[in-house]
Amino acid sequence: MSEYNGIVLRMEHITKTFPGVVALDDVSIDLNKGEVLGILGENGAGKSTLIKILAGNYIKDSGDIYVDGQKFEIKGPAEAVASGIRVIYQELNTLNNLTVTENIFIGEQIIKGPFRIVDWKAMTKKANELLDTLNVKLDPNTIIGDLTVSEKQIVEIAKAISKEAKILVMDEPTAALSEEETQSLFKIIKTLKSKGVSIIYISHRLKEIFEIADRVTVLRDGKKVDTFNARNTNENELVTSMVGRDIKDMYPKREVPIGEKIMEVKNLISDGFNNASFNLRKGEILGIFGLLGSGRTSLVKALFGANKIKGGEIFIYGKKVNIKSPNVARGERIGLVPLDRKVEGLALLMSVKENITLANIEDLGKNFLIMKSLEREKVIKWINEIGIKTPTIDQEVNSLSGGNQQKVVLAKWLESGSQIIILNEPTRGIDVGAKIEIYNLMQDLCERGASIIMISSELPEILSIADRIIVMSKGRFTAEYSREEASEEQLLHSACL
Amino acid sequence: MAEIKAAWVSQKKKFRLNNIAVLFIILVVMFGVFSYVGRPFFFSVLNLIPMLNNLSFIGIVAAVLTMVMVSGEIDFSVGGNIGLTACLTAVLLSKGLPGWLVIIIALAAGACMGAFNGFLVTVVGVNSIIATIGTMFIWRGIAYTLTNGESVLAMNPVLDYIGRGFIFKVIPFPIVLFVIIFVITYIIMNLSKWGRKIYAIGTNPLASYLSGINVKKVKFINFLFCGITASLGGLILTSLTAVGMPQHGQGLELVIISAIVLGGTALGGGKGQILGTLAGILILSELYNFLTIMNVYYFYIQMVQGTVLILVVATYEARQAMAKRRI
Amino acid sequence: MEKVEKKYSAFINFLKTPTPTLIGIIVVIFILFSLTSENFLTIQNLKGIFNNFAVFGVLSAGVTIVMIGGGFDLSIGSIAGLAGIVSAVLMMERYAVPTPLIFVIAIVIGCTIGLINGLIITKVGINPIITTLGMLAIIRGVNYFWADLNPRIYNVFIQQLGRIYIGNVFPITTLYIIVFFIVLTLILKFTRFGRDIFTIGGNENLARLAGIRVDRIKIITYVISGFFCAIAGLLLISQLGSGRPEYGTGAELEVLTIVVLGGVVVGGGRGNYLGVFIALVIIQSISNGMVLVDVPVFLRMVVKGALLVLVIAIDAVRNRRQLRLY
Repeated sequence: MSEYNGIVLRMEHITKTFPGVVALDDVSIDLNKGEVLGILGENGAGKSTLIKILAGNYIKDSGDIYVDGQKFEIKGPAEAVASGIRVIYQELNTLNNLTVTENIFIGEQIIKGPFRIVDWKAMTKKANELLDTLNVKLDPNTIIGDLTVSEKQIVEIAKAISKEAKILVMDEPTAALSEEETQSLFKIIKTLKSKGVSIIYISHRLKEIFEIADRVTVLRDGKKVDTFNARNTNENELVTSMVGRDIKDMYPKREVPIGEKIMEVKNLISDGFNNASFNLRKGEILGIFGLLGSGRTSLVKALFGANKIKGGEIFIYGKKVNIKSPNVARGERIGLVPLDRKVEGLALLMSVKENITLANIEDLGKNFLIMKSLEREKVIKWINEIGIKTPTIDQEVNSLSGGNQQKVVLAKWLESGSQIIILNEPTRGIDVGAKIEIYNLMQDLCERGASIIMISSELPEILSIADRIIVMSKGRFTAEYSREEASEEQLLHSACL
Repeated sequence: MAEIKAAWVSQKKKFRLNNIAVLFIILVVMFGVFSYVGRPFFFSVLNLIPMLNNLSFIGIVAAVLTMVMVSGEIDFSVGGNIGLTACLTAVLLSKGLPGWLVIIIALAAGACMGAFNGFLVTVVGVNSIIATIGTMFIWRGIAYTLTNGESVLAMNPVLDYIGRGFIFKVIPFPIVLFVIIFVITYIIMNLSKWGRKIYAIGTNPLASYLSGINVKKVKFINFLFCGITASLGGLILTSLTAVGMPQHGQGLELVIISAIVLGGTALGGGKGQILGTLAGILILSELYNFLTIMNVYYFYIQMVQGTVLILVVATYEARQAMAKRRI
Repeated sequence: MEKVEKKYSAFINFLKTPTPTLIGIIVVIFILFSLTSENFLTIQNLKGIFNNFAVFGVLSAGVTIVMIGGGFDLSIGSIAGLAGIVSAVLMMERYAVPTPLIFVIAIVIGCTIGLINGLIITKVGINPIITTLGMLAIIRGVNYFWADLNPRIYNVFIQQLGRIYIGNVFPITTLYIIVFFIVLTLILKFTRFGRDIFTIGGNENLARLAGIRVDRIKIITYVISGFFCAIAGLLLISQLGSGRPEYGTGAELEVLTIVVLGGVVVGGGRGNYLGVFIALVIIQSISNGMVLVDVPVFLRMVVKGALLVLVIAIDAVRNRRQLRLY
């Protein structure tokens, strides 16, 4: 479709900063009526900030937003909805004990009569109509808790269009969907397009962008890089825009001697994945690649004892181990730098000192008391070795930058003597300079005999830093590549199997 | 930027200590006012010694309960525990069991109660607020059942010493216990590994768990000791009053928790100081002692207790809300 | 075909609630007690059971709606006591306040305290448990203002309020409860207000995002709770024949047990009055059964406490969203 009926959304010179970070820097985007605009960008590029501003959860620092030519000051969710903007988040916001109908009409139940009684009949009818519009067969009386993720998403879409939605923003909508379900979603999107709804589609998945988007805007480091016509561009062009610089400089890689096998995993089964088998060797960086929902996080959590293992075996140095809890994992010299470091990795309101020693409190003294001098010594050692920027060791971790917070988590595991360190998206939300420091750190550790398992969805990162890459898709291992063999196309292909 | 940050950090520590210092100043001022208004009785040995005794047994419970609260849980059943211990002690004594044995049994009972609370919260996964409100009723009910609703005399040389004995002929035993326990809990919370774990768990239980800390074990043991200490408090009270009443300890939860929150412990855990609890206990004991001497009707004092609880929590909620905006 | 499908799915949804289990429990309990005591299944005894749960039933009416909205009210016993004793005092000869006015005053008292609870919880932001716990103590103290008056109820209307049996069989108090429960169920199901309460209880953030006036609705639920406390207070003085400050003490325990057993989730978003009604009958039958089987008075208290803990433990296990890791 090359004829558009005008611009339905215009965001001009939007800037938003947080303490220490410029999330969006003079970003201007326009959305044509009836089109699907894809938004691409790495982690930290500013995509989620953009969404939150449109949804009214954040207030822009400067810039203007026009819907259908009319300027809107979006001060909160109510104004966003009033201007016709609806957002569907990755984490679905549904009330799980209520039915589909009830969820669609939250806060806006249809009422009739002088006594303003809730009209269940009319609501069920309208719900059916909405579901029909989307060409979906679903019983509106089903309880949300019983639906699959894909079906829940459909309910959210139905909710979004139940009151004139002009602009639908979808954030990584296919994260938890199967190939079939993704195609169903695309059918729905096309239906919506034909009804005049304009869609902003945010995703990592280039293949999907090519399939569903009309145009693509690329964000990088808070700035808009360019907008492409989806028909006229290719993967290379997009990836280069996303990453922005010569890949070689960004990902320093050293050759580190790789030794014996230290961990072996056989047919591991847990919630979220099946039959995981792999080896890890000393000094090696093993990368795990996969799209959202592929089971990567579940896998590493199981390795760390945070998810219950339902089958399979784990061997460390040839000895079988039963990793029942993080406590046990720690004892086996395994450490996990989690995905959500602020919630799972750090006690934000405690000091740098207390966080670094968090996983090794027992070694802070010979008896039940803590030897303050010993603690100081240890903490200062790690701060120097790793290069954590903090004014004092008693500084609240909360006030450190993202990169330094990550370093504190790493220090914690080093202090506890971890030999196998699992990093889940190690450079998410960290600026470029700090990223390079972390890559160097990782390799320092490998040189000293540690082994690293790294989950990453940043293709350039994983292709450069990992020695071997395992690809996961929908809970299974689909491929394994060595660094020489791997390429972006192959990884993406394996991740979509 | 770095200098500003450093200054701000030490400011925060100073703020916390300042907070407690302020409380102690308020304490002294109140004491002065009460001594004047309540003269001559308030400031006399006849009043101060009983006040200190009373404060001792409440304070002992409060000290360990602070540990529970900093770890993010709460224990409403301490009052019921005291009642149960009191009645158990009295009944066993009346059956002729030797004093020292009864004391051991009482403390063991306290341990069981604490363990049960710990079990409900860590193993079954019940919210500690509701679980301990429930066990509060159970302990209280058992107390009534043991004595059939009546008060039973509890006189015994060993027991008597706990509440009414003296060290070095001058210092009442309860106060000695009070000091010892406060010192112990202070050391644990501020200087020991266990204390560090408690603060970590209270600040972020998930991160603590994912750093290898055995959260359930720490919480369970805290509840266990809370139960034992509450029983100890019950023994002191029984000794002081020489009687085991099922009503012993009724309403004490309100006072103790108010004192702990007043002392700076946050309801959600992670923040709190033993010294603060000390200040809180001293202030509230003083207040209620004063009201009692002034012959204020018991149930009006209850009203004050309720109001104090709400006010104290409100103040700390407000302060927490301000602090949260920083994150 | 569609209509049959709709009814089928609605029925399936019903089966998933805790209510069918409760019905099962009732059957078991009735069988159990009628076997152990021959007096259990008599009309006389059943009349007693159904009449006795008057106060608890009315209190549960209010508390249920508060809890579905995610709140908590521990002060219900004290408020009922307050409404009761003030009404009793005002009915004394020297004040001779006309009966209709008594009703109004009692209700105003209940609603005002509910309002205060609601305001403290929403505007000041204090945890509902702490707020209502504090209020419990405060109001309990207030009740003792009139401790030495000891008013007896001579007012015929009030006397009959809680003691009439329709056709000599059916207690009128049960009728009140049934009516209240039906009205409240209708409100919950057929008004936006009612639906919003479920939304708030289910996910408060979502409710706010949807533009629901969360604070306002929460406050109203506490006022409603206060209203029912007042009614319960009147029933108390009616059934007990006098006004005393300690009336209502400890009611929170049984009401909480009943409501949680009835399927109202602590934390909100779920619950229905049918379940609460059945739970009411269950708990009251157990109480009654214990008397008949001659369980010592104070042991009954223990049983009640244990029941609460049991019920809450079951609720915790039933509703565990994820395994409790820590």
